[in-house]
Amino acid sequence: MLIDISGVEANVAYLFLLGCVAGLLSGFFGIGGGALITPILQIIFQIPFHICVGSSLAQTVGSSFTAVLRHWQMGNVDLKLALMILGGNFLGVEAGARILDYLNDLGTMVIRNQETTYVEYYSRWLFLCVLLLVAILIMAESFRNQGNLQTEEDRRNLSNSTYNGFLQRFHIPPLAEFPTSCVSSISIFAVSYPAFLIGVTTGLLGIGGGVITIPLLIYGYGATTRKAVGTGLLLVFSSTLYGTVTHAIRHNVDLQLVAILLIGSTICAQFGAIATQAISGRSIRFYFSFIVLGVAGLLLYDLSSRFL
Amino acid sequence: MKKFLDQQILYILLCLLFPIAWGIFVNVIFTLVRNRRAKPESDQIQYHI
Repeated sequence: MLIDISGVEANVAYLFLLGCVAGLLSGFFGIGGGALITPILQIIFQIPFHICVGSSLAQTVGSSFTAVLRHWQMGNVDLKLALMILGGNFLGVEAGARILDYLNDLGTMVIRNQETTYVEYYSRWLFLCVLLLVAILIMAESFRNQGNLQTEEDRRNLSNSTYNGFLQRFHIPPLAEFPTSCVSSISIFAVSYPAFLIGVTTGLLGIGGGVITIPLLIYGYGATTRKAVGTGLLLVFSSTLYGTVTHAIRHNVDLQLVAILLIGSTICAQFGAIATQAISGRSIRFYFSFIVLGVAGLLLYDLSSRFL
Repeated sequence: MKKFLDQQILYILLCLLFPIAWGIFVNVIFTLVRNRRAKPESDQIQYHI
């Protein structure tokens, strides 16, 4: 069965399958799945990039909502940190959407006798860079934790000391402290502006930002792992919700596509979550970096076969 | 590109200034709330002493 998505015919069964794979991965790895859905929709299904971004954000809102509720009930959310980050994050999402609008308006270009749009060309390169960065971040995290059987929080409790994130080295006033996340003192500049950049990737590329935000909260700000996951998920939910609204105003969200992806991902996320009981968290993150590298390889193959 | 930047100049200024202003605002609000919660407790301790 074929459906029309912005002038492109796509098979419902394959889209459902993509939703299932994204759900399985998000349940297994604890991410929204936007980083994988957007490039696959763009390259394999040939759906226009702005529709991929808007629809991927809407799908992430749905898939992250229940996880946020669960973490909120468990008390894993640092409200002060989340609110402080959200100011810059929302502006970043809007900035990303405006840049996407601008690229869309630029129209077409010719590279190696092949006509393409500016947005298709630049979005692929940007996505490739972001995916490589994400893979490096996750690999670095899993290597750093290798051989260490205790969690971050346990180590802190045992040593009765605080872990300093790399952004805590910049003592530029004004400073803020986040006792809930065990962050003693950090510059507000260091909290607000990285959040803005993450927002730009959300608005421009349709990535929820969980794969960047959670390592940033742990290693950049020095937050405890549990609070970082809960707060990071709240940020993903809020920024993707705002991103969905701003992209829906620009007619970049296809509800049919979102519904099919959400049905598949909601069903299969449960199976992914069950599978996590069999494999340790460190291995899961390490494997995930290979999946991200796989999607980056797919992008690189597409770029090299068309433009290089 | 220049035309786009000219059109967005107000938004660019907002992006430069708002994140830090919002951060300070949130920090002040949470500090005030924390101090307000802590105050009655300290009064109570003084009263008991």
